Amino acid sequence: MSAAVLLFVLSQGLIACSAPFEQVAAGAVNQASSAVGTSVLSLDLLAREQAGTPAVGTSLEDMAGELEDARKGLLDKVPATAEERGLHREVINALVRAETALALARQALESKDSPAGDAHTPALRDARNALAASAKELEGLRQRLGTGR
Amino acid sequence: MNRPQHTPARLEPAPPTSGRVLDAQLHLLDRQVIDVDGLPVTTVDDLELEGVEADIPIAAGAAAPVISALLSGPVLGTRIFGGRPPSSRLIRLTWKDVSAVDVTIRLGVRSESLAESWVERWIRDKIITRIPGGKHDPH
Amino acid sequence: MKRLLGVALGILTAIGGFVDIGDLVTNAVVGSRFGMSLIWVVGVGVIGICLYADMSGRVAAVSGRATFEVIRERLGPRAGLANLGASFFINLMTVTAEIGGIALALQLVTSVHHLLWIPLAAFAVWLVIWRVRFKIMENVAGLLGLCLVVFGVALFLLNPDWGQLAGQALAPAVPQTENAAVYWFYAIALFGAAMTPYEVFFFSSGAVEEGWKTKDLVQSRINVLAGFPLGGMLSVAIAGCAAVVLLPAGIEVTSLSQIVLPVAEAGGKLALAFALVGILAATFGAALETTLSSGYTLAQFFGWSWGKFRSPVRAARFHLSMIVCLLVALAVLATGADPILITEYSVVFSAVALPLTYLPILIVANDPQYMGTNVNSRTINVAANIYLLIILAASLCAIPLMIITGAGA
Repeated sequence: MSAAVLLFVLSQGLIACSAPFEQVAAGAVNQASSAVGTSVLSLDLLAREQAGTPAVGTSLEDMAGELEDARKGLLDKVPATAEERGLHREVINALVRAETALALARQALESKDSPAGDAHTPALRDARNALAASAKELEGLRQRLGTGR
Repeated sequence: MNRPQHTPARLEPAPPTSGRVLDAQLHLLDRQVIDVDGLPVTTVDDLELEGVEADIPIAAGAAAPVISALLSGPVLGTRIFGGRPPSSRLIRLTWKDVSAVDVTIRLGVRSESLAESWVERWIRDKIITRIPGGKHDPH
Repeated sequence: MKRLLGVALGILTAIGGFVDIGDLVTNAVVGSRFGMSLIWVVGVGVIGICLYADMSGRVAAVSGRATFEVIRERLGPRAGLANLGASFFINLMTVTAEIGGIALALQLVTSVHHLLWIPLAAFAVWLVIWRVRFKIMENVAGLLGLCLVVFGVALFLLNPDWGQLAGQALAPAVPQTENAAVYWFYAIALFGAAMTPYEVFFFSSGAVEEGWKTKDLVQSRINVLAGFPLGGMLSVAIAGCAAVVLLPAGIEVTSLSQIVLPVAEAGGKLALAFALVGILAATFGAALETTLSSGYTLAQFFGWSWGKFRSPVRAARFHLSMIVCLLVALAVLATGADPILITEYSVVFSAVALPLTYLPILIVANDPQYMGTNVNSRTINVAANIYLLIILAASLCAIPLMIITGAGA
């Protein structure tokens, strides 16, 4: 059993090192696109009062972790050619935009329940729109790159 | 089918012996031991035989070896990895205490009195009794 | 009348107790990535667990011997110990995953971070095992687990294209976005989730706990044959919800918070509340079952006194070993390891370990010394041998597929 685990870990290391750059980028885009999609859905549910703040907040927190994972996975990979460097920059920029939008959404959600904020802060709607724009951008990248599988 | 002439149509029943025939490997080893109150005590980890020396073939006509004790505890390790523990370190359950052999081995005594259950007693007295509710009977 | 109530209660708790964190996560992941195209595996797994639970329950009721006593007797100390090691390791992994699942569900209810809930969850699990009667424990967890029916209700409220869903389910094909190795990897994970070995340790030991006799066999068979397939329907509903809402949105499930989104989409806050209660009950119930199973396997292998029908002082090593297991699970979770990831590995390793428990049970269920006239019938043996082949194939392919696919990533 432990031998199997060890073998697995080693092989994962090898696969991670040897995977072509485009595939890694596609995987990161796919992961980020899923996370942003989830965030948009959660915020829509909140706006329609179909889900409460705890569930939506947890979902946004989990997705922030996913976006961070995706970005770190890509940063570990060093692009070799000029073409790869271009793609790298493009994807990283898209991921950073997604993270910014999600951070806005989480801030808006925090202030929603604080005594100072009112129930339907425009901040939440703005954040939702920023996330939707990011989702569109990532979807475009995904169409171009595939899922990396 | 052609039956050879010298085979009897029915086999004679085996001659009665003084007791039941038990296969040590099949009916004793690795069986659960239960005390007179129905409390599980241990599993039979090994057997101690008397009247037989290790590594010396038994001479024809010599008295049959008898089981003197059921062994438990660390002796299990020697059955798995080989070797032989010193005789003084064995935890013995004398064969005299055994009252019945079925899919389990039943004892005629209470486990409280057995050397075997010292670990259980130690854990009970030092840890479990001290946690509130440990003596609470579920029924 | 009382007997009828008993049968109804048994079936209901079997339904509510079927789903655990492994089923929840694997079904949602599969639904969100493969639609209904892997649902056939749930069917295969449910028939398997019915066969397997029926045999182990029968062995326990007729001979009074629970699974691991039988495994030691049949395999001897060496193979028995190897078996114990593997089964115990996987069981401990499942305990960890279930406790993590309780904490994640509590975070969804309260928005307090799950790491803070973990010690409380583990303590609550221990307290119930320490004090609450077996029967009450099982019935309460099982009945509350029925709240998961809300996934089925949600699927109807979502008003999906039933023809398309049925088409995916009946003519399974690998989706274009996925490759075949990943498809088969998830097939094995789903099979392992449906047939987790702990259910068998728990089922057979539970039969001894509740003092089943040969006359109770009919009821136990009804519980299994009605309860498990209906529990499997819950699994299918969870996958269905994910397939209808998450798959078209390009969302792949990686966390518990995503699993409940379709329910909220369909039925709003009320449905979400039911789903959360159901998930809490299912993970808590399974945490109890897996923790007890770790105690059962150890105690039965070494011949210690065990069982919740005895007071803790009369089963000291059994209770101590469960406390240690909970502490180990706590320590693993305290490192911040993702409970969802632990769950995903635990179901795959469950599939690897299945033959270890399945084969000895099958052998003993055919042994007249234990079973008298209640040995397997010929029909059951034919089915059991077919399943033995399926289980062996799944077990052998699991690790290679995990390596090739990078655990389905």
